[in-house]
Order: sequence, then structure tokens, then C-alpha cells
Amino acid sequence: MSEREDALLERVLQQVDHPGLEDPGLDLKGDERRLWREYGELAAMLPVALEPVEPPADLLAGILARARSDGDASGAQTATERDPGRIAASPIPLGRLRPRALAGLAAAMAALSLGLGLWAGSLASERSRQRESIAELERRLAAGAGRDQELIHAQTELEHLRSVVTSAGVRACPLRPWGERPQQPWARAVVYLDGSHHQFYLVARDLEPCQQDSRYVLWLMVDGKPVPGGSFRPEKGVPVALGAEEMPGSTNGAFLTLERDPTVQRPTGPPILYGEGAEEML
Amino acid sequence: MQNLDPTHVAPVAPLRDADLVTRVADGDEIALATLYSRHAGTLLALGLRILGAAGEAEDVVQETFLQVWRQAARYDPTRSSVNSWLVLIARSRAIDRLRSRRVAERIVLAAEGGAGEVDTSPGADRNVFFAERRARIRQALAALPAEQREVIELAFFRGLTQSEIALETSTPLGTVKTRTLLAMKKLRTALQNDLRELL
Repeated sequence: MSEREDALLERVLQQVDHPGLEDPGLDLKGDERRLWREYGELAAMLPVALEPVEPPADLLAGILARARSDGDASGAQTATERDPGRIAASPIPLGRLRPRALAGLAAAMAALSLGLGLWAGSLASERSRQRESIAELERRLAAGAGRDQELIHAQTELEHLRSVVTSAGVRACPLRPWGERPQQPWARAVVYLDGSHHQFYLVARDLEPCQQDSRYVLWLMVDGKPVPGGSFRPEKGVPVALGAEEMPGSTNGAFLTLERDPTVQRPTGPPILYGEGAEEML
Repeated sequence: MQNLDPTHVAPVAPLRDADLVTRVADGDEIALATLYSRHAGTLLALGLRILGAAGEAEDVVQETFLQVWRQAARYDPTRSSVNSWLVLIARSRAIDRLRSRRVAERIVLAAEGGAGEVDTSPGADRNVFFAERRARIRQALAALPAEQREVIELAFFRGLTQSEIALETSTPLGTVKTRTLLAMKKLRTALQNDLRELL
């Protein structure tokens, strides 16, 4: 095999030298094909040794913007474009670690939900829209703040949410339905991670109500391991806002599970929504 | 808020790269962004090593992920892993740019960049997804004799052809090829477990 291996390896190296060459691997069979694959994978794996370079914050946004314009031109649509109703406005109850329906706040929170539901790829324009949404929320909240203590509390929460999602260095981690056959394909969420202040904020929508004996648990991915971040019970059709002021700085992802015991220290069920990696807002 | 205790929890398997590519083929931007979060740092590092210019390296990363977006449906997992596919695209685009430059310009950049050696400094490892694999590859590279490591780094991190390596190192072409073959065989043996995961 050695001479044959050398010959195969030389062809792999020729391909490395001249990437445009036709891939001869398809004509190979059995062990030779496996060897070809192995050396090809090895050649591609070696750059992993390089220290990764943090891409500029706007690079992903640029890629997604161009991808979207591709989609517009070709007729291909993104998931959100196919179903704009999924990010349609609807109310978000605000309350730390306990969702609460606030009818008076419903329309106002809808605009924020719209902003928060979008993927971080369009964060630059997203931020501008968020500011408009928040300004609108503030106007509405200001109008009704004297009426109701709950509304005042909600305003405080809103201020907190605004301070989190608009702080410099805040990263957004979108969560999406997990697995080949997602349990809740329409549900969406974004976790805003504020590493500087060790805070996070979850905004989720279209989650199905859970049974009496269970709650949703948010897990933060810290160094590749899930850490419980709080639990909640959503109401039907009512998006959720959940926040906490204790978050490991190395959090780089999050997911939601349904748990019977909200104090559980490890997930017992499959993720309902899952997100990996987080992008800076600015 | 509950106490955070990472010692009592178990990891959850993330979606595989190949699954993400399938979703990208369906127009899923989040899947594209997840692939980006896993691979962009390495591809940008590769682009920087080959091209020596941040702007051009970023263009390479952008072109790579746009190609993934446009051609995800054509990805064939029986031919290569997603990592291999991405590196192939990025490398090809970087080399296209590199070869469009004058040779003299590249030599100047190389001299200024000191690009030939792998940064093995501890810490600051931002891409957790590949951190363990990165450590194993570095270990395998470090175990190679210096002259073999040099040809591998010039070929795979700087985009030089075997002939260009021969010129740059003032070494006969046959010797460069022999060193490369020997190094690749050793690396294949050392990284057998990682390769199995990809196949």
C-alpha cells in the first residue's frame, strides 16, 4: 500500500496546490477511497491549529444581508420571509422569573417583540428599529404608569431590559427549534448576554403552555456545559421575558427544556429551543 | 435565579455541521450563522495567514459563507466533512487572490507577517467548539521534526505550492515532497481519532 499511498497522497497535495483540479477521489474504491478521504480531511483539518481570529462584528451581518438579497433575487426565501406572521407583534409580560400577562402593555410590547425576535445578523438595522420600538413603549408606558402598580413595575422591567439589550458588548443568542423533528417548530427565543455585567435576558414567543406539573427551564451553555438559568411557565399566546443578574461570563449559548422539577441541576429532556454562539449587537 | 453549578450537569450534543448545512439549503439563516460561529474564526485566521491582509481575509470569509448559502444543497457528505468543504472553499478563494498578486508583493508580506509558525500560546482560545481538536493538532505538529513542520506550515497555512516552498526554503523540490509526505503520514497516524469523527 505504501507506494500507492504515496501516489494518493501526492495527488492530495496537488489538489492542495491547485484547488481547481478535478477531484479524482470519486473514481477510487475501497481502501484507496478511504485513504483519499482521510488525507483530504487531514489537509483541511490542519488550519484548525491556527489561533482563531475574532471576525469583525459586522461581518456576519454583511453575509446575511447579502444572503437575503440573493434570496430576493432568486426567489428563495428565508424562514421569516416565508412566514412573517411568526414575528408579528404580540404582547410580552415582564416579570423577573415569572411571566405575567399585562393586557395594557400588550400592544406596546408587541413592537419590542418584533425587534427582539429577529436574528442577530441584521443587528445594525435591528438596533435602530429597537430604539424606535422602545421609544414607542416608553410613550405608552408613560401614559399609563400612574394607573397601575403593575404597569410601573413593568416599566422598571422594561428599563432593565432596555439597559441590557442596548449596552455595548451585549451579545444576542437566538434559540431555535431543536432536532430533526422539533417539538415546537414555531417557537422562537433570543437570549441577550451581557458579559460585562453578568446579566442575561430571555425573550421567548410561541412556546406552548406547559402542563401543571412542569416548567420550562433555561440552560446557559458555559464552557460547553449547561447551567440552569431559571424557570418559567408561559401563558398561551403570550411571549415571555425572563431575566437574571447572575450569568457566567463565558456563556456562549443557551437552550430550553421542559422539566418537572424546576430545581433540576441537569437537563432531563431534549431541548425545545437551542442556540449556539452569540453575536455582538453592535 | 438558581445557583450556577457547572459540575453537576451533562453536556448536550449540538447539531452536527452536516445538519446545519441541510438547514442552510432550506434557507435557514440561523443555521448559517451557527456554522459561521463555529468556523469563521479559523477561516479568518487561515485567510490572514495566506493573504496577510485583514480586509482581504474578511472578504474570503464572506465569499466562503455566501458560497455555502448558495450551494448548500450541493454539499455531499460522502465526499467530505463540512469543515473540509469550508476550508477547501476558503483556501481556494484565498489562493486565487494570492496568486493574482505579484510574487514580490507576497514575499514582502511574508517577511513582515512572520506568518510561518503556529501560535501555540495558551489561553484566548475563543472557538470552544474546536478547542480540543486544535490542541491535538498543535501537539501533532509540534511532534514533527522541524523541517517537516516547516513544509506543512508553508503549504497549509501560507498557501505555498510545493515548488514555491522549494524556492522559499532553498531546498530541492524532491526533498520538499518527501518531507511533506512523511509529515502527512505521521499526522494521519497522530490524528486518527479526529479523522474517524469526520468520516
